[in-house]
Amino acid sequence: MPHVHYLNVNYGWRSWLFTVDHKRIAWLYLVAITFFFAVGGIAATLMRLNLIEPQGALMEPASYNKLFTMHGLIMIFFFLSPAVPAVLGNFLIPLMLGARDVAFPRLNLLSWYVFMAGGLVFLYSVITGGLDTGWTFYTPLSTTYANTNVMSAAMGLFIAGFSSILTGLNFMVTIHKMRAPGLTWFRLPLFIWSLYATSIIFILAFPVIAITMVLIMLERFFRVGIFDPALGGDPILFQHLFWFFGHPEVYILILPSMGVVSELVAAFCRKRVFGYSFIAFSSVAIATISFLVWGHHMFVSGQSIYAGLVFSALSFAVAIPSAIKVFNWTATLHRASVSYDAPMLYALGFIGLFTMGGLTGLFLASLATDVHVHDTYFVVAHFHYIMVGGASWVTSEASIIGGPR
Amino acid sequence: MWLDFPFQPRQASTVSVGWDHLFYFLTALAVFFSALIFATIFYLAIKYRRRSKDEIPPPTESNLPLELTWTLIPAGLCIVLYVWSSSLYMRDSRPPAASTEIFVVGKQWMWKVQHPEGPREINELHVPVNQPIKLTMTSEDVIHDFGVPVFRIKKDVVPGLYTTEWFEATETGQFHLFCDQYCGVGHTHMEGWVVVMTPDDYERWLDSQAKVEPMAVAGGRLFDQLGCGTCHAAGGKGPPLAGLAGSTVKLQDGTTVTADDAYLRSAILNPRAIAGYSAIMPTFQGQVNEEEVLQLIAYLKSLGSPAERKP
Repeated sequence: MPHVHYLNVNYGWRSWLFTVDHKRIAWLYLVAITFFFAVGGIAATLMRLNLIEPQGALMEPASYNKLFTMHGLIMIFFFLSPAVPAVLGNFLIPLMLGARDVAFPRLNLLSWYVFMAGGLVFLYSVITGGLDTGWTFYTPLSTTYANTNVMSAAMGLFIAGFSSILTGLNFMVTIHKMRAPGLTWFRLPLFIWSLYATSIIFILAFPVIAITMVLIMLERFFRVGIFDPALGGDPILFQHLFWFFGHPEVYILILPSMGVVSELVAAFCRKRVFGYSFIAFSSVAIATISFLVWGHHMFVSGQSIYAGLVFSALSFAVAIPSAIKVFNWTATLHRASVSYDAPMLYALGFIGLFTMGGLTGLFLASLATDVHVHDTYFVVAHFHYIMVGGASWVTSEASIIGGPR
Repeated sequence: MWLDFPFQPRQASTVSVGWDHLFYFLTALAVFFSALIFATIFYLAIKYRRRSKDEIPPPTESNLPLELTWTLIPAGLCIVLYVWSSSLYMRDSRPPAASTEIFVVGKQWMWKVQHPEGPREINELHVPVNQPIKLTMTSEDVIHDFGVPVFRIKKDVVPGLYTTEWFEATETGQFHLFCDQYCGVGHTHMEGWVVVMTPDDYERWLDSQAKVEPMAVAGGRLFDQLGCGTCHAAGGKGPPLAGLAGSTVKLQDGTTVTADDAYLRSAILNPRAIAGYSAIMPTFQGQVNEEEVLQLIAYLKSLGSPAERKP
């Protein structure tokens, strides 16, 4: 380490809260998401304890319903969405590109403040009674029939979403315009490729959830008829709007971790990842196709069976690039020099667990089987294998051990 | 004991067996590919483990045929799965023509079932075995979902519109039905039983129920009570209703629609939305609940088939 570095160049709380140094902002995010991870984790623990008995060992259904709603929203919006992009992305993108900082350093700091503002509003909704609509906010339950903190929770999410949009914008401009001379696209680290793909999704998907939250608030507070049929609205419209965001969102959750795994595998095999361009193109393909599959959350919602056919086909298509990545990572081990350091074990664990979770996704893409397992724990298992066994593991490991070398 | 372990619920409907075959194929595929990846990783990670501190492996070579192989094989498998699954889904999406219609209204947090012959049930659905049953469903409040695992059926029950699903039970017995869309504090307890009986038992059961009028008769009573005949009689302002249900209606812009259940519900609750007629009919929203709308529709269906409809 040099004698003077980013941690000791300045001291005092002002030097941290008013910093525009991307590395310090990464630390600010790390502290924030760790706190939210703890809150979401406590919710999960209480849920699991309650489920020891079928009738609920700890609490009434009303409380349990709040816990799973809070767990989902906090983990997705305030832990996993920002984790790899805002922590590792902020820290590493300029370093990997040979840039001094990101394209808009002050916007970067603003993103953190917007994130904290949204997080605090959301915490307010948790502390003053919580929300029990489920993380998907289905209408008209959330707009008319729920008697919990829908307004403040929706407001918290609305605010926090802008943090992601601004970060995505920042990253895209940085990657496009601030690469060192000679650093062409196909010489970029795969971590950059995956964050680039993620940034596309940030910018295109988060505005949709923002406006959807506004519509929820309009209907709930001003009784404008948008989703509630009693007011002339359409409950299925909400599902389309929500899942048009919601599905790309889950690819926000996994793509950055895939980038981390690419770097870890390369580093601890001491060779370039097998099939670099395939993995790079797969990242962009996943981001693109992810916008076309939202209807697979609605196969039994009453949508047209012909829409179901289209969404099912596209959902199978989006599985292929992920499979390509898994095979390429595995092939990197061939004729490599594999070390068993902890980061490598986490990366290999990711590949295994993500494979299992991803294969269960085929059951969900397939129309016939989805009808039977929709809204059951099969789906819960599917996404937890990917989000915990995949993304969270790698996020925690990479943040703790210090990221890809 | 392990052989008795229920990997899937009982197969109690005509579609259960076929759908289970697809499920087991997917399971086998998932187990195979998971095992393949796990085994490959273990094998390669052990065989090529670092043996000395300064070991440098040979540089990465690309291999296009390999890339194409492991792209096209999964793609091919996905196509097979898609075709198999979609054909099952399409084949089973339309109820057979001779289905018995039963009507379901969901509300927080109970199921109200109405048989066309009149009997009504709460949280139970009595049906005869080996007879296709078509459920027409709507909700009074939030989105629910009527799911019967042993029949492998599930469909959201949505306020403001009708959704349908059908099944043909192949075994008698009592089978769980669940609300499968989170609907509030009572969601967990919003379950019930589908009771499948032999045809004779079913007839006996129907007869044994409290003497309630058939849906069509109840609908006729409502029709008179609400004064529908004022306009919808011969020479009145409204179009004649005999044979309307199921017929093809011409709209103002020249397109045609079928006067199905959803159309008829719309005509009663939101008549201004029916293009092709002047906006004269008042809405009955608030004057009839969902079950009464279903009774009115049953009455309309009893007024003759579309073939008998005079233009």
